[in-house]
Amino acid sequence: MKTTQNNNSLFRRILQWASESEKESADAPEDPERQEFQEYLEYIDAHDYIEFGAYRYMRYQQRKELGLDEPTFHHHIEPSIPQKKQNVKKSHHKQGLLRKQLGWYRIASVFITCVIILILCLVVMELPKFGDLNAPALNEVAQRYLQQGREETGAVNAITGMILEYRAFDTFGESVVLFAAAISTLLLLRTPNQPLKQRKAGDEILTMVSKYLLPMIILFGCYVVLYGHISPGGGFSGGAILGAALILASLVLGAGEVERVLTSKRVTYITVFSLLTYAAMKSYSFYTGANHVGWAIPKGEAGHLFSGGFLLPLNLCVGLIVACTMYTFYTLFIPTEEE
Amino acid sequence: MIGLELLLLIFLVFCAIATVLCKRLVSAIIIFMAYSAVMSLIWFLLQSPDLAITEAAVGAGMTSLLFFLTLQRINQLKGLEQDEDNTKQ
Repeated sequence: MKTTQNNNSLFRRILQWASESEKESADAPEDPERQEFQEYLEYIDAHDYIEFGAYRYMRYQQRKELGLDEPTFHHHIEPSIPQKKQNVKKSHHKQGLLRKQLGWYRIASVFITCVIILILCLVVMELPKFGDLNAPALNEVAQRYLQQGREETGAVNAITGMILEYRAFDTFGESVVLFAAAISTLLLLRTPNQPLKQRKAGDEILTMVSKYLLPMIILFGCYVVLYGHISPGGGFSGGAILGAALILASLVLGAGEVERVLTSKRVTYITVFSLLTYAAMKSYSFYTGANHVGWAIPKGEAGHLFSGGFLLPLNLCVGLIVACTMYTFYTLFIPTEEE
Repeated sequence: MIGLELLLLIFLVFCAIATVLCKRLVSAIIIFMAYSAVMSLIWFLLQSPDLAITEAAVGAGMTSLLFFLTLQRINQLKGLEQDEDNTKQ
């Protein structure tokens, strides 16, 4: 928040922001990009529709012809430029309908936000207090989970027992949604068989720090995934940490280095394999009445790594799915060699 | 402990308002990151360490990273060499 700028009080700034005269006043806080976009809106309101990029290029050419000092696209705006910019604008722009209603949009949006905040606050006041014994959520289901969860699932961490045993189907749906999102964006956006750009982060500090930090992050991620049934954590959070570690590695070493080991094909294979393993294990256990009859992985002693029966492999599957999905999302953003 | 919780909650509200009012997109994302970090502390104080870990990893880590990547992709991250090169062309 730039509250100190121009010694304007917050209230005055809000008034200026809501009123239409914001742009004309000389000492109003200027944001060149927003101003440019508003001018663009006016322009397509007054003229025909063109793309924003085309409009910016047109403006760029205009300003170059006029011989302005630094005809940059949007940053390093000199204090003298905004006035000249307006001269350029007035020559062929007229006020459109959209511009007239822009002030009303802002007031309406503030009003709607305030109403929503009010409603949410009223609802929060109705909620039972934290740790209230009479809360409707504290019924026999929660009691059973807490009292018998440890014997029935073999998990010391009751939450993992709930997520992956009693509510395993929900977690499966979650993983499927993640996988579907990743695979559809991958199908739409990624051109296959195109190597990623070998661009390393040139930053010395980042490289040195992440050299020592990266193994620890990966170790911590593995710990959170593997010990999900004993200590806080589990597949989802551990997978997110592992995915972040992969992204950091890709940023520091260059995208191509990680791509050599984890090609997008392999990442998809891992995800699909984990998802199918999860589905097979869970559908078997549901088929036999959610009691793992016949193919019971021994529950083991609670508190040890190999305990909890199905929980450890399920955690591993979820962790792999999440980590691979996060990494896939990242790879969609890196430019490929051709661009 | 109550005082610490109150402090964190006030900071949370402050962060939420600042994220909206902030004019530069990069600063808005960094404030949003701070919001997630404080939120994970509050989850921890509310005795749900599982949620705290998830919030820290997803909220502060992944979400803001994806935001940054989006900004980089639409050339709104200022001060990068790549950005200046694009302008000069």
